[in-house]
Amino acid sequence: MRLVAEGVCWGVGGRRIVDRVDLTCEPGTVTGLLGPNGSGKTSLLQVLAGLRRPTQGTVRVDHDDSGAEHDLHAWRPRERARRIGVLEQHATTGLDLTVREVVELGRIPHRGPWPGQTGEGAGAIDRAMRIGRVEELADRQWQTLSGGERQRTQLARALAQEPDLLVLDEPTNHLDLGHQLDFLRTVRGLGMTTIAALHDLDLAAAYCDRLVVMAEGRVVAHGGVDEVLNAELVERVYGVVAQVDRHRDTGRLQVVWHR
Amino acid sequence: MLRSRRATIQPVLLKTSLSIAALAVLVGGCAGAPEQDKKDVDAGGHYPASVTSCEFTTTVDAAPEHAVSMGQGATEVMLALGLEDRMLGTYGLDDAVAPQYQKAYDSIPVIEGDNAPSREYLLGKKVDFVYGAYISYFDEKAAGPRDELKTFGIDAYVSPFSCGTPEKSKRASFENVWAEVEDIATIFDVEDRAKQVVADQKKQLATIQEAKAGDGLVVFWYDSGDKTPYVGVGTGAPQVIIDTVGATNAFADVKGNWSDISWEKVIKADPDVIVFADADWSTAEEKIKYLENDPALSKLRAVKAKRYVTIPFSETTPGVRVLDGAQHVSDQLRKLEQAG
Amino acid sequence: MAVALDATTTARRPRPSLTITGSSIVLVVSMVAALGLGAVAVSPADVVEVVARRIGLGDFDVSLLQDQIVWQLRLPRVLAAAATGAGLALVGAVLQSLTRNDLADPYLLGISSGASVGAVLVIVLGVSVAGLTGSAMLTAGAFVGAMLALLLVLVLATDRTGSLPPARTILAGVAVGQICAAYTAFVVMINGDADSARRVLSWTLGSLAGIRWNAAVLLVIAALISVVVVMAFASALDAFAFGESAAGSLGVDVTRTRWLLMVVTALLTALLVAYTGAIGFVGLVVPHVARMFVGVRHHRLLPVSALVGASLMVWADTVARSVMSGQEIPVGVVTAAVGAPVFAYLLNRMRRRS
Repeated sequence: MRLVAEGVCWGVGGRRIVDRVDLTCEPGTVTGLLGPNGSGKTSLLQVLAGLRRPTQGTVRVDHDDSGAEHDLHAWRPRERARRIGVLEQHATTGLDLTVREVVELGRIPHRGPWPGQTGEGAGAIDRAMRIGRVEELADRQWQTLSGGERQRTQLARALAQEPDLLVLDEPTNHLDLGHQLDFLRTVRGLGMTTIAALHDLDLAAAYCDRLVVMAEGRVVAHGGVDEVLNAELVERVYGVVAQVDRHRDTGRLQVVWHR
Repeated sequence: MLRSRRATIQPVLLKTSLSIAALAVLVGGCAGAPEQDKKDVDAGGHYPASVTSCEFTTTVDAAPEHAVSMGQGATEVMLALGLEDRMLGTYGLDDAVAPQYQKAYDSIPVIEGDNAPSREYLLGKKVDFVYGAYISYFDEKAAGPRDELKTFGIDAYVSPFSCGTPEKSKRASFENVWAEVEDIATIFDVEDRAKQVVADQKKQLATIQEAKAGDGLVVFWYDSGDKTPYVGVGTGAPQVIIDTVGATNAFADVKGNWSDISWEKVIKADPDVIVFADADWSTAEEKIKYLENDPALSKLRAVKAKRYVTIPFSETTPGVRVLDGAQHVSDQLRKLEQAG
Repeated sequence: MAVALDATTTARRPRPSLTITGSSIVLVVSMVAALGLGAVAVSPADVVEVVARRIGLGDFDVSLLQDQIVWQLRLPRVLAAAATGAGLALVGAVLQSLTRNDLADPYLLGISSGASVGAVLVIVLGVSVAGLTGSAMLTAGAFVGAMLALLLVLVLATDRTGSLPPARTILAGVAVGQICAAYTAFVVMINGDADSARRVLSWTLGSLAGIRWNAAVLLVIAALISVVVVMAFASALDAFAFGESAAGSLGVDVTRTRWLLMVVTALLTALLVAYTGAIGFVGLVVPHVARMFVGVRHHRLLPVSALVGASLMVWADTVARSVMSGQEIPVGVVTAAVGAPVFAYLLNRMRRRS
């Protein structure tokens, strides 16, 4: 699914939190959304996911790659939930759910009003759990999972929705390095159009096809990783003096900051 | 120079003397409550007179002149003894006083209001005797406890039928009603009038008992309530009336004066006659309407045949009116029997 | 934030279908048993004969007394108890999920306190409207009071976007509840005497005495309709597991769902409270018990809550009218006496687990 945002604004109480954002996510690509805290990343993602209406501008999707574009916000909530899977920053619940039950939540958009109808999609649930690598955890209680296991479970849940687009809000927060890498590797391996807010520039460089950088609600840079990530941007946006190098062995871009 | 000195001394002196005067008044005022006008000690030796009720002994040094009665039962005892000329006010009627007392009642000021007279009110009116039908009239918010009233020079008496709990109160019976009348008569030194009242009541009682208008009848005494009826049971004034007319109380075996009873038991008892207590807050009409409109209760024999007896609420609580209650129940039962 | 109340890391629960069947059977048995118990003894055989005769299964020899007691007095009451218990438990389950608060109960939106205001105006001040007297006026007054309180809560709780955020809703409910409780107390103390105070307290604690067929049928129909309507939202309620934003991302129209569910449950609660008083603990505790047996999926949680609530109330009412001869204790006292220890037990399990 291709996603095109044009002139998107969103604000509350007279303040503009997202200011005239244009961006495009090509089908099958992973777009990283970067920017310091308060730059409007989460709010933008909420608009792109269809959870908030932009106060100005449009978000259009071409969900079957036919070239025909639909206004994302014209969709009814159920329709939208079958196309877009969202992972929020913090997923908390007080309920006693097993991993399998959490993943099953992803089938809600497909369920009819009465239980037992088709749409329960046991197949979709199993596949989602396999891809998310939480099959062995199926009967474990959510409350007993580690941070990494929870993220994988939420990813499986989003995949159970059988979406065409994934919207991830800082999915690697609170994860240790190993789990961060695992998670992003999995996401990249899906081949699904994805937009993810990330705070770690190195990881963004390693796992994203394109980057969009925000500051104070506006897009200040967008394009390929090499185009966007440079020392000047890092200093301008983050206020940090750094060097952006390509690592000799891995070939990946790295941001090395100076004091 | 001299003038200005005088000018400054005089205000100071004035202020000082005023302060001293004020202080004196205050101190004089704090010397304790002003003395009551001492009543002449009765030379006849009747006073001081004492009676005891609800764990309190009331001792009067002379016949009270400014009495207040609170509650219909108390008011009617006073009127039965012809004490209206000694009364300053009455409070708290449930329904109309008996016709024989109406004229006397109208001659006494009625204390208005939703709440019982307070201590301040009584002091303000210079009341010297308070007679309450229920001990709640002597709550802190109302007249206050009887011993405290005594320190203010007000004597107090509460009906022994209502001391607060069934254990402390006297059982409903004619003997106890007459004992209360005699207590009041003692306080006011009108014992001969009490004797007359008791003698008249005894005569009337004997007539009613002889008539046995309720012989062989099972009675359901319906005081109030709809979802669950509040019923006259084993030992209260309702039972006294039922015994007097020779009938049987369907719920005589239940302890207490009145009690909540399950409608199931009423249906099981299927009484011959229903006696209704008619009060403003629970009229006989309402209760009859409820019974006749209820799918289950309308099938009771007494409801189908409309064998109803209605007496005013004031005749159903222990007091001088119980006899009237018995009379009216007896008369109505007689009429029902004649109607067949 | 609510805390889970199950003590195991791997859930071991009986099969859900078993639980639903089981609780249905328990309900039916309870109802039949309740018909035989009361101030007057009626044997189970006689109970069955009375009912069979009435529904036209044959001409059985039953006495008028038994027919009156079982059919006119007890059966409506037992049906109303089942409807009330089912309704309160259902509402409790829905509100606990909607507000993500384990302590939510049917009276969250100020319903019972509003009803108390109506009740106290009728009982203490003798307010009455043309034609209605006694308990009919009390029911009407309580219902109107509940509706007014609900209106006030909804007005206070609605935010700028027209949504009903859980935190704000709870606070609005608490505020309105307190105002109503204060006003009720004020009226009782200033204008009431000991007798009317007792009657207000008695009403507040709840009672099913005086329910006859017309009220019973109304309550049963209302409960059934509510179950059907709420069940259509079972998936939507599941979606709230991780909060309202997550629910939105799963395709639930959060604002519309919340409004609809809150209004439907409030109407049902107001109707129940108007007829039976503010019976406590059922709506709070039964959903937790149900969750222990069938988990959190609402398409099972809702019916099981309703069934368990119904059985509980049938038994509570039976105890209330049978345990003391000659007197009825308010059914709210029984539900509290049962509910409080159960709740303490649940809290204890929670403590041991964490």
